[in-house]
Amino acid sequence: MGAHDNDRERDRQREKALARRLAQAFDNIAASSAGDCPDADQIAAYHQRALSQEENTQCESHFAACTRCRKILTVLAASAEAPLAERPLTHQEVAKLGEFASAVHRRPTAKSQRVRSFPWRFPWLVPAFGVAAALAVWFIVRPPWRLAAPDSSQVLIAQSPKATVPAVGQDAAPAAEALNAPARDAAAPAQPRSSTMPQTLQTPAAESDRLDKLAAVDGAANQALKDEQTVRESIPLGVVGGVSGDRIGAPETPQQTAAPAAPPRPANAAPFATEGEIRAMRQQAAPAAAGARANAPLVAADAASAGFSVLLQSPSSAVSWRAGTAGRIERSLDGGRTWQAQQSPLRENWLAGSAVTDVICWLVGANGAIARTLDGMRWERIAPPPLDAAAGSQPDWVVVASSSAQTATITAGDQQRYTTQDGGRTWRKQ
Amino acid sequence: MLETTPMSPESVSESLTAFLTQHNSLLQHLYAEAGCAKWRISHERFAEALHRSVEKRFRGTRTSVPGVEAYLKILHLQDLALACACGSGNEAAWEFFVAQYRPELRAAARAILRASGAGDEARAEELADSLYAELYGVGPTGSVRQTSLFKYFHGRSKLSTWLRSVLAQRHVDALRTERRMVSLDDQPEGTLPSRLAQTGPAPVDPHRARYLALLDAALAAALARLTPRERMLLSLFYLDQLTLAQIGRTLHEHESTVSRQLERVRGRLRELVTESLRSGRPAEDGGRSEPGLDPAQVELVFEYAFEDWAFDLSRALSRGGSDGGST
Repeated sequence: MGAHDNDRERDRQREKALARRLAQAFDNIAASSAGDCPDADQIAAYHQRALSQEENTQCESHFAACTRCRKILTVLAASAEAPLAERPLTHQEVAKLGEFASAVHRRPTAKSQRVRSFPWRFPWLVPAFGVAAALAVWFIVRPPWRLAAPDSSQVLIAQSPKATVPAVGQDAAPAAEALNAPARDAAAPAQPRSSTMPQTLQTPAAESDRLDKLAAVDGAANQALKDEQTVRESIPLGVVGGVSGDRIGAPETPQQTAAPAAPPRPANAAPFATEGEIRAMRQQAAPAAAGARANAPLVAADAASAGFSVLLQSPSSAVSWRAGTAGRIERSLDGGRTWQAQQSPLRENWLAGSAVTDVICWLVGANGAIARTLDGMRWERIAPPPLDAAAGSQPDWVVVASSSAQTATITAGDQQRYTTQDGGRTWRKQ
Repeated sequence: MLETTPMSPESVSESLTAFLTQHNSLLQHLYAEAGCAKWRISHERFAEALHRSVEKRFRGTRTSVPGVEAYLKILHLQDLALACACGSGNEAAWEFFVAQYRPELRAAARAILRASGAGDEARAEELADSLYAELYGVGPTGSVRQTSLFKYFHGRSKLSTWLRSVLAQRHVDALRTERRMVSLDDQPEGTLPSRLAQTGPAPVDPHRARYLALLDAALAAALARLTPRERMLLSLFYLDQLTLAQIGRTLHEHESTVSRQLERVRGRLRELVTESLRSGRPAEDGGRSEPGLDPAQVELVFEYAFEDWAFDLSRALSRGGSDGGST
């Protein structure tokens, strides 16, 4: 063991020594091979991953040797960022955001009145003529959790079930503490983001054990990735979907999230407010500068009325997608103010999604529906895993977790899980 | 940087005619899909724009009809139509462009300047608006219509991405010009030491000099064996000194993916260099061959390298600042 450690140490030192000499080495390369800088057209195409393999390699060869072009690429990437607040929220602001979210939820519209009589809250999911359909889907998707707490709404995994949060704002502090509690899995490796660890499920109800299994992350779970989850989750019909990102040092299995039923969280009419608020609460503990979403409630209200059950935002927050019934997909590039319809390859209801980058996104839905975009615009249907002998028809996919264009894990309503590592060409049952 | 088409008028129209004939039905279809009619773009003008795009992409390469058609199908046609219309002076198109893209451009300019630490609203407006004149095609006299910058958009990316690329280009070039004008005496005090060493004075020990030369040769050979993307990763991290997150955004990867990839590349580089040192080099280009080194000698090489850096670092620190990496 000692010898191994010494070797590792020696290797590290050597790598450092080499790193120091890279400047000169790169200078030498640059002198000989840089060639002409690509123009704006090519740089834009490279940035959007629209170049051919050959062009890509050529460009990267040039970029490796050209400081100017690398700088342009970096600036281009930076130009997509538009943080709306440049400091973490204060406690009062979190409270306000929460109150707004609650107010939006409590607004007495005909739809929400009808919905409240059911043991879950998705006013924006219930089209006037589709209550029965919605119910049907609900039962298909969530039979094990029917006996959940009366005020059970789908919540993000980061919410501690123990913290009852009737009006989000008031309880920001205890919720924040709950979030700070150490996670069950203490063996997590490096955490590049924040030090807060969202608590994994510890719901009191018996059914939640099943939830726990579904929600439990791998042994080598990366807490930072979980933080990201809470930020990037959408709130589809009954289930939390979508996680992006990768883990340091951990094996390639992407994470999953599921919907704990217990914690009563009224503010679900405003998923973004919830998300922003969670992040803000994390910021109380850890000085991660995630930035607030001042326009978040607007986005949510919009989604609420338009009948979209899946709402996603890319990590850079420059791009948002929403997806809903009958295969509808829309995208927004301005934080949800305007939406552009996109061509969908399928007519099924979308149930969950995962936005990996500004241009890579996965969607899954009813009847085996899976789709993916690699350029943010064009969606292609991905063939689902072949049916089990026992199964009668394609299952509804209710969760998707993805860390790249090639890797994704999908979960069916009956909790069967499949993973692909080649963009959906082949699937492996978990 | 911006492309020029150095073809004679005759050969242009020849190849354009050939293009139109070969892809006629597809061109009709694309014209409709692009919505050219609403901007009153003629079939000919749009076909010309498509031809320009194809020309640029496939110039100097051998390609087939299916290849060209596949390329045409993935272009951002509506954006291309808008650019075409704006470039030809269609007022309605220009109004639409300004309404649709101005806020985005402003936001991009602001984000760019903020990232450079100069987040000033006025400057952002200036940067964004500086583009308009050229896009509109107004020349230095202010009234004569020159070629609009739109002619350089070929539909390979979204119009907004292309606009941001142009903004980025201008910003970077402006910075570089500024920097060259700043006298070296004005270097700020106490800048952080770069991740890289300065090239120090020639080492006194000839043995040491030879070993370091061997190392540099091995390093150059190893770099050449990496993929372009791996080299890019190294230069983004070590030369540009970006954070993992920044690299992630530039390359559309997650921060932890970048971290993992970077570690892998560093390890690979080390292995390649060590291998090169161990196996030596055959004689090439009038140089002499280098025998391989044994493990003890390899150890020594790296020690010298490490000392070399440590020496330079302390010197740089005592000087109160380094000149920074390459620019």
